[in-house]
Parts: sequence; structure tokens; C-alpha cells
Amino acid sequence: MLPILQADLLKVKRKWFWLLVFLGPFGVIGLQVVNYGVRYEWITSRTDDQWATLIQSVNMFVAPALLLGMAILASQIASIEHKETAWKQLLALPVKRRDVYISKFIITSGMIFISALLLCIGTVVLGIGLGFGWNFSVSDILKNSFYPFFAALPVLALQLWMSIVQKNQAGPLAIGIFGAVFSTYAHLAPNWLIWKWPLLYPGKDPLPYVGLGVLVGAVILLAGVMDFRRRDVA
Amino acid sequence: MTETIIQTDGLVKSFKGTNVVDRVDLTIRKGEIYGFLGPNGAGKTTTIRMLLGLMKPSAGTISIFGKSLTSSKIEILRKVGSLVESPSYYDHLNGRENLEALRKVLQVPKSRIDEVLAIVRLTKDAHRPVKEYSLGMKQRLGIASSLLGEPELLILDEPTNGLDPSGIQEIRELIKSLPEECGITIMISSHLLSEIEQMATQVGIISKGRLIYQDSIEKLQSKAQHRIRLRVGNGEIAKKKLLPHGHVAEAEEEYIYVEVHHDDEIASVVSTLVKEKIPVYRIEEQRQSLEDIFLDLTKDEEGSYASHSAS
Repeated sequence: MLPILQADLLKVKRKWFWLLVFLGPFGVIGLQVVNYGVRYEWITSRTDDQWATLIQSVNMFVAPALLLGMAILASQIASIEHKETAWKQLLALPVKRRDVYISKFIITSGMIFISALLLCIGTVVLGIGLGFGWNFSVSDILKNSFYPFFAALPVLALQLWMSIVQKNQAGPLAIGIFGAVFSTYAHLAPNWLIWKWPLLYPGKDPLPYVGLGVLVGAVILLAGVMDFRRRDVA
Repeated sequence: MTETIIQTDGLVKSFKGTNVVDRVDLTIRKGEIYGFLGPNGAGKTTTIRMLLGLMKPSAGTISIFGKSLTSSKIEILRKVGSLVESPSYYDHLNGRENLEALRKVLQVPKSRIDEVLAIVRLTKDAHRPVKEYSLGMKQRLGIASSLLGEPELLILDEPTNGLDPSGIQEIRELIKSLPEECGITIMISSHLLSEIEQMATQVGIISKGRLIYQDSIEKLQSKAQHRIRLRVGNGEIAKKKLLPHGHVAEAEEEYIYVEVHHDDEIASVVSTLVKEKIPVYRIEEQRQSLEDIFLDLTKDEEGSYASHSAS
């Protein structure tokens, strides 16, 4: 497993993956810079807890950015192998197909994890920059990044499967982008829709969706592995 | 009897009801260069994909190094190097990085990269991105990749496809040198017999999914017919005159064709023609090339298929 991961890390070189990992959280924080820049007085006058308001404002854009990033990264990492038909070379090596597939999942989810971490750092830097002081709740900021991350894992597993099993990335990307846009309007959608899950924090009780996200994510991942194993490689 | 490296039994692959590969029994022994021949679309690549575990056979078994491919796939693939159809590579990486990505998986020493680069003479271009490579260089990189894991069996599917004559020559020399230098077995597919003829020790010919010939290259060559063509002015008359003397000929306009197995026979044919006052303008030997045999073999197969479907 480890050698395959190392090979995958080498293959993402010069493919702008790391720029994307940085761009996601940078965009989300950037929007808040604009938001506060335009109406600082108004926002700060309406609340006593400046940090809580900041976290909530940041939260608005976390889900769509997360879902969009997942769709793009999954498509990109699959494209590396689709382009110039590298699958046949990779899978004729002494490797288990399961490991090849899971490695792609680990790489993409790891990158999104780093994005989530960058978002935490960005939130703190922004809050301090706006003069809200050092008295913030670390756990709230972590939850704001990582609850949506875990709740969105089923979407990542689904995007990865769609991107890997077909060469043409138009379908998976269209579905991914639609899901990201849809998530911003998903408040009224039924709770079983996986695209709604990263949105449920800061609802009343986000934890079921975090647990469900990890569980359903794992189920979709395993289903993807099973499907990938029985496929013929053209 | 030398060790059998690849053995397939009744190998079948069907897509949507048609058998693209139909009951193929391959036998490839250690140290051979096995030429796997067939027209485009005959099932060569599909067979090779099954041998590499990229596709699952619809029926039949594959054993490589005496082990079943289904139960010992990883163990077998560790000793197999392959190049399937168009070259596979990561075009945003340079030549060395491409090999490094494979080396990490194969877990061979780093020095092996320099060795294979030297074998295919890409050492100087190893730092360049592969997207700048010519087709010949990409193909050589593909061969380097296939050699990276120090394989005992090399499976090359159309390795000279799309190369210019000098590139073909270069790859041919390289492939020929491998069994001598490293003692490896090679299976190489092509749709050009002339290509295989110069490298292979054994040949298998596949047409419409069926393996229609499998033996040594010498046996195939001995199948070549020797015919003598004589220009005699009027073929039909010459044919009639020859028959009472026990010579069977085929006539075609001003030519006749005779099949002879001995020099005396042709001498007798000529003396008969002279005695019958038929002018002989020219006598020439027509040797069927391997290419013709190949075409004949594959054509026969098509004919028998047509009659099958008609009945």
C-alpha cells in the first residue's frame, strides 16, 4: 500500500493539485475578507460574540467549496491514469486493484483534509486581523472545518468512483459542480441527500451526520473497490 | 523438454455474444521468442490483456510459470514485464520520473532506472518531459518500463507500431539481444509477419479469434510452395499437350504454372514443350513468401467461417 501511495504522490507533481488545496480555503476566507471589508461596522454592531459570527459566516461557503474541491480533485487524479491509457500499465504491475483504488481515495481525502486545516488557520488569522482578540474557541473553529469534511466523505467516494470508471470526465464534473451549487440551496432538501450533510453543521446536532458521513463514505468506497476489481481494463 | 512458461487452455473472451478470442491454446516455452501474429482485430490484444490479468476470460484457464493466473496473479505479475498497444506514460513527468513512479511500486533498486535507460538509450533525454518525446522515444520508454522489474517473461504488444524503419530496426535488435543477455522469454505480437520473421523462434497465428497455427518459424517456412512459371505463348495449348506426358499444369493466358519438387521434373516439362513445338520464352521460379502463407492461412479461415455460417 505504501509504495502505491508514494507513486501516486509523485504522479500529482506539476498538476496543480497543491495549488487547488490552497485555493479552496483561500477563496472561502477571501470572501469573508470582502464581506467584512464592505460592512465591518454593520456586522460587528449586530453581535456580542464576534468569533461565533465570523465562524458562522465562514461556514456559509465551506460546503460548496468542499464539494467542488472533491469533484475536481477526484477527476484530476483519475485523469492522470486515463490520459495516455496508463491504467493498463499500472494494473499489469504486481499490485492489488483494491490498493490502487484506495490509494487514490487516501490521496484526495488527505488533500482535502489539508485544505480543512488551512481553513482553520485562515479563520484564526482573519479573526485576529479583524481585531477580535485571542479569546476564541479552538474546538469551534476545528468543528467548523472538519465536521463538514467528514460529512462530505460519501460525496468524495462517489465522485472518485464516477471519475475512475469512465474516461470522459464531463459527467462526473457536471454532477460534482451541480452538487456543490445545489448544496447552497439544500436547506429544504430531505436529510438523506448526501450533498446536504456537510451543510448540517452548525445545525442542532451535527454529530450523526459526521458519523454517518464516515460510515456511508466507507460503504461507497468499498462498493467502488468491488466494482473496480471486476472491470475489464481497455 | 524445456519448461513451459505460458499455457492457456480453451481461452475464450466474448463481448456481447461474439467470441473475440475463441478457444485459444497457447504454449510458450522458456527462452523462446514467440511471435503472436494476426490481422488487426483478430484478438491479439484481447488475448494479451487476459494474460496480464487486465481482462477476465469468459472461459478457459491461463497458467504462467506453472501457476494459475487467477490464484497467483500478483506473484506471476512480479516476474512479467509488459507493453500493451499504445505506450502508457504520464506526460507531465519526465522520463526518469515516469520510471520512478513504476519503480516505487515494483520496489527494485534505484540503480535499475539507469540500467534500463541505458538499454533503450534514453539516458540523455531522461530529464525531458515525456510530452516532448517522439513516438519512437515513448515506445522505447515503454520498453524500459517493461524491463524495470527484471522480468523473466516479457509480453510486448505491437512494440514497433507507428515507428519509422530505423526505429523498428533499433527495437528489433534490442528485442533479439534480450533472451541471449538475460535469458528471458518473450512474447511479441504484430500484424506484420515480416516483422516477426526476423525475431521469432516460434509463431502463433490468430485469425478471427482462433489460433490457426502454432509451431516453429522453420516449419512455417517449409510450407512455402515452389512453383515454376513458364511463358509459353498460349497457356491452354501447352497445358493440353503436357497432360498426356503426366505433367499437371495450370494455365493462365500466355503462362503456365507447374508445381515441381525436383529439378528433373522441370527438365522433363521443358523438353516435352520443345518436342511439341511450343515456344518457351521464359522460365522463372515463384517462391511463395511467408507473407503469402500468412494471407492464405488467414483467408482459409475466413472461407471456412463463411461456409459455416452458410450451412
